Amino acid sequence: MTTSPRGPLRPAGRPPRGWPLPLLALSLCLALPAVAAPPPVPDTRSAREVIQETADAVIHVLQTEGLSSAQRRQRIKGIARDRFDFRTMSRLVLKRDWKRLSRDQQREFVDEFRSYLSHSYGSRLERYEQQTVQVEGEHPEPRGDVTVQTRIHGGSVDGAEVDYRLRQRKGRWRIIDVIIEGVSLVSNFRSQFAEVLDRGGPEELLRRLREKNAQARTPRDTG
Amino acid sequence: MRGPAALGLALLVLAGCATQRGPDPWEHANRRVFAFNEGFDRWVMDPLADAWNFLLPHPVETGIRNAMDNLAMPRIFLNHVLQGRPLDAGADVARFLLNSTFGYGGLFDVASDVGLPNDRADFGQTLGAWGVPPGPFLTFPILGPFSLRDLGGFGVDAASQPLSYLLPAAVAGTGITVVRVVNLRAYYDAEIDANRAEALDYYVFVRDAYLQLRRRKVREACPRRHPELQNDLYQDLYELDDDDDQP
Repeated sequence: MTTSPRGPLRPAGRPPRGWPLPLLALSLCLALPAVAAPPPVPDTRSAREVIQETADAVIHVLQTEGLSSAQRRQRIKGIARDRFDFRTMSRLVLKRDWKRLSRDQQREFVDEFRSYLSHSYGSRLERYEQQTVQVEGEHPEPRGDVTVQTRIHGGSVDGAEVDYRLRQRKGRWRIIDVIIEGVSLVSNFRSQFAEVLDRGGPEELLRRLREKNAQARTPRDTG
Repeated sequence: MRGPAALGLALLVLAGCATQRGPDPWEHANRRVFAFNEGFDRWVMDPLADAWNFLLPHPVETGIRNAMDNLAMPRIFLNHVLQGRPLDAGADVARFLLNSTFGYGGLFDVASDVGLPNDRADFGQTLGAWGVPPGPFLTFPILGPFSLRDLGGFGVDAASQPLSYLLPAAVAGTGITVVRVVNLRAYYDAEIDANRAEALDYYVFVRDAYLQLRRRKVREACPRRHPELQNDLYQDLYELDDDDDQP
């Protein structure tokens, strides 16, 4: 397990470079209540283990003989549904606009966003038969989050850095963002969704998501 | 070959002036150029990429890509020096020597295998490290997304390519650029198709991904000098009001 001396990867357990000390102290204070009062169901797996197990589970699906492409995609979707915290992601992605949605709209958004993201995750990974994922390190973030750094080996995206940000909720570490080569999915979705919300409001956003998910359900020839 | 450099410097001055109105003040015009570029991609680049993928197996495309990266060494070296990263500049030379010899003229990236990964550097990144803000986002015909700063950097980098001086510049330079771009487009054909199919708004997808990638390049070049680059995006990205945390 080698960490490149030149890349932006930081050794595990150290805060990101360039964090001013007061901020670091503040983030430690924010994390403290979580330490003082452990959640009712103690977490047995660390964030790093969650990512390692997720990677192993995906590789297992990809290497299982005799699965059709649709079956693989379906199983990877199942893994995604279990490991991502879609509700937190939905709220992060919509940010201030979250409150513009009614309770029903919020519920529907979480559902549609879950389908949208799991499909995206499944259809991408389903193609990466020859690749392996190496967990390279983890480091703490403000608010008690943890970033787990991984690198992909093999395939057309060989050497790509994929960071997972995890947050603990109800005693479980779950993924709240995927950062591919420095591009955060949450940030990217937020930009896209904000543009749609500005033009057409919540109903338009939900309509577009439903439309995308319907397209995804229609089997199309992806080669 | 002074043209691109002069254009680059002119754009830099502009970038310094126009930073106040959000990242995309020219969105309307940008979207029109983007639509044109999408048409160009659909009718020219995509068929070329398909033909390229049909003719060449993937390892050959990887080899071409490695060779092109190897040729870019002088640019990367120069920018590492300008960014005050002598160790990385030294690593660029070591990479070049290793790949040019044991890597059969750059076709194989043996340097990455021995712990010297490719670390692309460009003049837009150097300018960012020097404190030049990205300026407004713009979409350039054919060339695609740029910040004003990075378009200027692109011009300077193009002018610093030694190949354009060694060989009949117009022909060789253009030929190599076409091969490089078609090869890259073919290499990432599947990824591009997936992104385009999935995005709710592909223009915004490209803009946001581009801006995030460029921020990361600048962060890599100056981790300490610009704490605001570290924080302003990611600070607020993961904040939530905890008042309605429902199952």
